[in-house]
Amino acid sequence: MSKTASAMETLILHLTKLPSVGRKTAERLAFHLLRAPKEDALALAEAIRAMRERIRRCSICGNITEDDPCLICRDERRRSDVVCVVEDPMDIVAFEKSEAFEGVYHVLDGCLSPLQGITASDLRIDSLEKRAREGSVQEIILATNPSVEGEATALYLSRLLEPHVKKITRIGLGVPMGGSLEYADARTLKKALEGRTKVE
Amino acid sequence: MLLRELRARRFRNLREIDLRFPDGPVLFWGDNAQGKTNLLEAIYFLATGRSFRSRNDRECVAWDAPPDEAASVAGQIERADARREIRVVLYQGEKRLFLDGKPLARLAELFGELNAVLFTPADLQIIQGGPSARRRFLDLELSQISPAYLAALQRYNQALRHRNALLRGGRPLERIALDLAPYEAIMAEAAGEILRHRAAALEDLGRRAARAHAEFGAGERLEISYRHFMRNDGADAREDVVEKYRSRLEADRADDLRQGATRSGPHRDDFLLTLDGRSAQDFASQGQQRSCALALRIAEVGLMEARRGEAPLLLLDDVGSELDAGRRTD
Repeated sequence: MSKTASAMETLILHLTKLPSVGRKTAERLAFHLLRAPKEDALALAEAIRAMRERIRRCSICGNITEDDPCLICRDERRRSDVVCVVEDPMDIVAFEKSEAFEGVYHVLDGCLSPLQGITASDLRIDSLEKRAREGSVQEIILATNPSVEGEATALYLSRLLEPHVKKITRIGLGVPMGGSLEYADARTLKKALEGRTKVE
Repeated sequence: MLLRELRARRFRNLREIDLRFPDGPVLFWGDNAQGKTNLLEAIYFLATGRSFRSRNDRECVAWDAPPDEAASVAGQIERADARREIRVVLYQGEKRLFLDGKPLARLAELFGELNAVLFTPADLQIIQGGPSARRRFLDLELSQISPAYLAALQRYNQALRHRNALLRGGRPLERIALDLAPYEAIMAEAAGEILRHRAAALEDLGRRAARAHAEFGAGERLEISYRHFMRNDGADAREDVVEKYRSRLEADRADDLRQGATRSGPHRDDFLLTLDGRSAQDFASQGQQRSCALALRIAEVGLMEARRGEAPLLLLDDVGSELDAGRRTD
């Protein structure tokens, strides 16, 4: 038997299931919630419940949203004929922060990984192919991660979608802005050189 | 390159060691099982982030260390351009690397900070052992002098593991052809780079090893030839093999599927050492093989110095038998 009261122990066990939370951190969080004003603790519980009840996936792009289709897919000022393919809804958040993209998205929910048994049918690839087949998509931008898995997924998609879409592009990979060249690794620099552009 | 200080805690039988080294060579002598090789292993760990004796890091933690105490090795390195502190911590099955106190995210970032060449009686395995012993020699040498090589090797191995997983997935060829293609493209690109580096290094090592071998006073001529993965396709080691290798992988799909493994590629590479044209592995005496291994290590030191602009740290384990090999061929 644990020395902690059982309701406390239940909460701690749930907290340890969260990413990057170990037993110690979970205990600290649980005791913090116990000492905090009761309304604050209950507001957190309510926020979690409301989030789970209201948030769903956009039936078009797979983004997380309260309304289906999502705000991005419904926005008529955006170009629905340019689709940026990302691994994760969090990648959309990153692109949106940049305010640099006016098209729409498609979330794959991961990338191909035969080693982990993740195949095309485990990802949202069918729905992407369907979007491409409908004929109105002019360009698909492959924005998967620059890992071996992300690269392989991009190559796979480019072959799969080639017959349906005129222009398939891969995001540029290279040196981070504001960074210093001497800290970039060799492969990043190689990619940056390969993807060099003419100074206008 | 110099090692100025070494600290080790619970690393094998080195419970608590703090050493400062003077300029010039350092000699350790003592009875068996005192930890002389462990000391070299600890230093080599700083250079490559792993042991030269074992694949499992756990074996490097003192067997009687309490589970909540970390094993660690730290070294002060003096290079021509900088002073660095490298620290490796082994804690509860995890390995953490630090450079000047800052954590390194990847093992690859450690390579090149401390260049070391190890001479050990086990070097005989490079001559006597299978191709994997020779690839290991080559990979450890090249990883220390070229981050681009290490990156290509890691990419290749990762894509290879995915391809093999597809081959073993139990699905028929027509169902996996589309899935195989991306990994083959990544493997081919990386393999081209690996081949280029290995060919250049072996050419250089061959020249240096032959010179060293001749200096031992050995009569035979030592030569090294690269048995690379595209030689059966008539490719030269100097040409760009990316497209040829990609076609080879595609052509091999049916056979590879039956075998459940990728049969051709840099992961099957080898190199051959010959004395007057005869295989040192098959025809040389033990003494001749020792001088070949020693010549190869001396060549490695030369290549590393030429490429890094600074002599590497030399770690010589139980070196009497090795140096003896040089004399024996007189």
